[in-house]
Amino acid sequence: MAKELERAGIPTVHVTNLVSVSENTGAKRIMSGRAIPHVFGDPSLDADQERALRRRLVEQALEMLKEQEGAS
Amino acid sequence: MKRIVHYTNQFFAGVGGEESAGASPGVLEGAVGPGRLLQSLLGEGAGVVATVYCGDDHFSENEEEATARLLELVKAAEPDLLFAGPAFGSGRYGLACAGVCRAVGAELGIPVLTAMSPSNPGADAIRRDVPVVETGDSSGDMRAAIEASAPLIVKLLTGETVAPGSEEGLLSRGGRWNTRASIPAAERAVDLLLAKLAGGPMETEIPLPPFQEVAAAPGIRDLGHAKIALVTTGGLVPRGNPDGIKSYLSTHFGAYHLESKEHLVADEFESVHGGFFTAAVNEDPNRLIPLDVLRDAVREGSLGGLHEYFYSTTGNGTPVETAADMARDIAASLEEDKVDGVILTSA
Repeated sequence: MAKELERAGIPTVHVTNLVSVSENTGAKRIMSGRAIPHVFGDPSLDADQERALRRRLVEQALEMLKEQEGAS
Repeated sequence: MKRIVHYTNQFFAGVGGEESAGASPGVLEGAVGPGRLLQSLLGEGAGVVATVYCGDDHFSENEEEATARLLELVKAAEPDLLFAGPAFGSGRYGLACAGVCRAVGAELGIPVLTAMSPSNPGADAIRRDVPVVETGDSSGDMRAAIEASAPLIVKLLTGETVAPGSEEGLLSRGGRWNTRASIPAAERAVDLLLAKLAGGPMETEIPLPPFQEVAAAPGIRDLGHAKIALVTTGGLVPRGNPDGIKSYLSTHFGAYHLESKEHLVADEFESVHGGFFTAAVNEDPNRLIPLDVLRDAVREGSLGGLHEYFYSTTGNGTPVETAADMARDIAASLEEDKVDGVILTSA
């Protein structure tokens, strides 16, 4: 899906913890999330910490959308 | 004698060259052009009773109407099998062969066969549904293409089993076949492993689908003015799953309006993905669709805006081609809404 969106000219960051699967299909911008069942969060943290973590992860994802050539 | 109808474009039917590409559907009695070579290879049991043709431009510009007319002409010749092509690398001709084969197979219920190069766009359009004999890119390959097609025509006419693609000179149909192996799986697995360790030649029994290379889109220059959309294969849907998104082998996606929500709440959303432990996402859907912090970013001005819908399906056993189809549909609506970038999350 990431590739088709990129093909349409829309930069797409794929956030996943099965990075090798994404790499094998040829996705261009891949970011490793926190964990498979909660890529943008972590239930073991308290609410504030978790939200701060999510913000950091989202900023990281947005940064990857700026890269001109894609990450990999 | 079994009756074969041969479909060709205007050129191979002898009607005319590129200047006649607008020719309407027509029919000629018996074998013409490449059909004669085919006839000579088939022997007594089967004959080309009619050659049905259409100009390549005419077909591509009037596909529905031309297909209906060609179907009538084919039907009138009462065939036991339709052979279309070979189209080699010619895209318009290949797509016409694909269209005619699909219509005749579906409407008349007779075996159909076509032949073209793997690079022909018609090949990808049809090879999962119709056997396609692999040919070269140009008509210089005519004799080899017809020689490869003739035995398959005989097999299809006699109801003989057609083996997996590569063994018959066909393009891969993307299917899997049950066969009885003479060596048990455990032994084959060990043999493969030993061959791999020895660095020798080895052939996998389950080749992975080839992935096409896609160039990255240009990056976003100014996030402060960019609109971002959220897409997930984690199966997040409104509670009750109104669109019936399947928990595995998904075939469609849902588009869900974010309205003025500041964050996604557990009472309203759930994941229907059947392949991961969904408790953490169900407890807080922002762990999959990080709406809360993206709203913060927009409010603070570091991000321009958010697309008003998020898109969701389950990426659980979904074939790559199905996922690509869904993504093309999603991309079309994102382009319409001038979305600059996507965050795609997968569990």
